[in-house]
Amino acid sequence: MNVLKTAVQEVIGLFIEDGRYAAAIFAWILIAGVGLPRLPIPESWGPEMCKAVLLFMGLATLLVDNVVRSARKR
Amino acid sequence: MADWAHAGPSIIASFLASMVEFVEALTIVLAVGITRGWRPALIGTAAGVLFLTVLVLVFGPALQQVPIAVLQVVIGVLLLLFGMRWLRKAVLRSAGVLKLHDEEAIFARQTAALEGENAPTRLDKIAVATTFKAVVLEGLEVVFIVIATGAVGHKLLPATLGAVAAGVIVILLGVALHKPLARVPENTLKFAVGVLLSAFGAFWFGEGIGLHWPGADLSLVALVAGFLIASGLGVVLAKRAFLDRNAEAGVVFKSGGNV
Repeated sequence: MNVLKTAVQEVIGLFIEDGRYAAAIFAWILIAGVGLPRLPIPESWGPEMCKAVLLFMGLATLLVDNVVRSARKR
Repeated sequence: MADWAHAGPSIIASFLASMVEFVEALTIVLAVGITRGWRPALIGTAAGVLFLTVLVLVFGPALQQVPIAVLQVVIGVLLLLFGMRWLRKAVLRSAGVLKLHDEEAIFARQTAALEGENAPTRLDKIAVATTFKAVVLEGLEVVFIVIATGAVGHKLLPATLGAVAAGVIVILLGVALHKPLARVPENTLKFAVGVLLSAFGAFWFGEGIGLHWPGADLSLVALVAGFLIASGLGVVLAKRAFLDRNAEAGVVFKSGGNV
């Protein structure tokens, strides 16, 4: 049982190290997954490009925000 | 059928990421082999490889049954979590906030820990378990990386070849040098792999939710560039925040001393 628990913890650890960071990524993915396909962007703005940029910018912001916060804590 | 014309990014991502994992596994196997003998070290390694092979043979074919959109979303999410975790760590290490991964220190620590244990006369279970665990844990990451970079878009074979090439190189270097590969620029590799995996993750997730990437596969290049720029910015800002924090701590310390 202990071995199984350790194995599960190790596998989860492959994806989650900083719980807050992982939760933020997951939340953004959820928002993007639900919201982006429904976002009414005018054709003249290039909706696909706008959605792609929004998806990326959210992820990039989370990364930069997390590393700065982590640096301040140490 | 493998799509070799567009397989470059999968091969590179799989090769670089697997190299990092193989180097980490090699360090433990070498530490066990040198301190406890090569027989238990190799038995543990072989058992680990066998376990991973069974895992791939059992779960690999099941992936073919999953609808492509579901596969893209699931793999995209997992890749984003996995890749952005690596990227975060690499950025913090580059900024000097976290210590660099030191294979020689890990080797020394592992060796000291194993030397403290009494080696039994028959099968050395501790040595076998240590190498088995190292090979399975690092190998699981390799398996995940190969599946994640190759399962969508029929690039499983090129991705596997990338990982196998990395494994062969690391094993040959390990056999030739007989010491941990401390000179491998691990953080630079992790940085590059974090960028690549995050870009793949965003790409597959976008495809899965129905985004039509401008320029199709070429948008991967833009995503790589974007994550590289964001990480570079992260290094600069994290370094500044870390120095500011230390400077503030210094001021508090000094004023505390004066009081």
